[in-house]
Amino acid sequence: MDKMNELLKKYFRGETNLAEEKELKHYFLATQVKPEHEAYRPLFETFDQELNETVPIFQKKILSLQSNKKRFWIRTISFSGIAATLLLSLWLIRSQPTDDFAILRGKRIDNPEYAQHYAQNKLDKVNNVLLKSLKPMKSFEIARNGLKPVHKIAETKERMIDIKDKLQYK
Amino acid sequence: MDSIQFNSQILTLSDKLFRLAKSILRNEDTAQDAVQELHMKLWEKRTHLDDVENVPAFTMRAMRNLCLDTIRQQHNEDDLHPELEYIAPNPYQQSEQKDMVSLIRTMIDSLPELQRTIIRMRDVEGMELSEIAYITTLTENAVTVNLSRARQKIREKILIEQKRVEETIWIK
Repeated sequence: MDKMNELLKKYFRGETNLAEEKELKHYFLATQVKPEHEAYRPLFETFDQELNETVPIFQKKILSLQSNKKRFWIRTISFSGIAATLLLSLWLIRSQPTDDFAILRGKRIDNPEYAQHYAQNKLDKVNNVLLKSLKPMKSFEIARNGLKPVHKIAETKERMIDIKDKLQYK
Repeated sequence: MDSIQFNSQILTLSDKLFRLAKSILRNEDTAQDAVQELHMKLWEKRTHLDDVENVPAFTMRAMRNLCLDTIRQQHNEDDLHPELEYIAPNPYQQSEQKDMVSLIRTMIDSLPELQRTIIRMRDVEGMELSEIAYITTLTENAVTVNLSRARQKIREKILIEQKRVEETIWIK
């Protein structure tokens, strides 16, 4: 008797093992079947098609695996984390020391030469102010020097008194 | 069981679980919901899964039990009989069911829950009788009997359908 007939009989009695069933599937799906077996081909095609069925839109289902409460906390923590990261990045960028620009009168100056020139002018001005402020001090010095002879008069007077006293004794 | 193990052992079974749920519930949307619900329940009890010897079989068994609970709830709510009766399609239905494959799906869906679950676990998923016995909480002999009955019923329906088609062609 034909091997496939025998296998089919066993199959419908529920007596085939997995290897025999695999052989039957191969026969019905991959080869030209005999006319008397043609009626059973859709059965094995059905099994084959059903095996390829997958969960539709599985990703969405995974996302909604957590309960609403858990999802709320996960989202809150995620968004807080993103916000904190952005703020930290912004702060680091702003606070990062750099020589590439200067703030002059509240304005950002990216031209280092201009900034240097501006600073030099400012320093010159400061220097001028200091020099002007020290001018009176020079006058004091001149006046002090001018008073030196006056101090000598007092010394001469003391010496004359001393000489006069010595002459009286004689 | 941590999230990596959960992903590799449970989530990878999703398609298989979906096919089982769809076979029992005979509704794609309800089957998706059932798979999702099972994932959630197993995730919540993932610490206990470390003690399970055969995680895939355990998961399939849990899926079937959850689906049966759903059917019981639907049965209570709608007062509908859970089993469908297979009726040969009329000419209008024949045009709807474009091929024999969809017709055979309907034939399998019309079987009692246990028989359609067993025939699909064996012939679609290629599972061992011992695994099917564990999932359905039957003995292997009982599984074989139910498998044989399911296959023979499908065979009869296929032959009736074939005869009907031949008669239709003959009349034309």
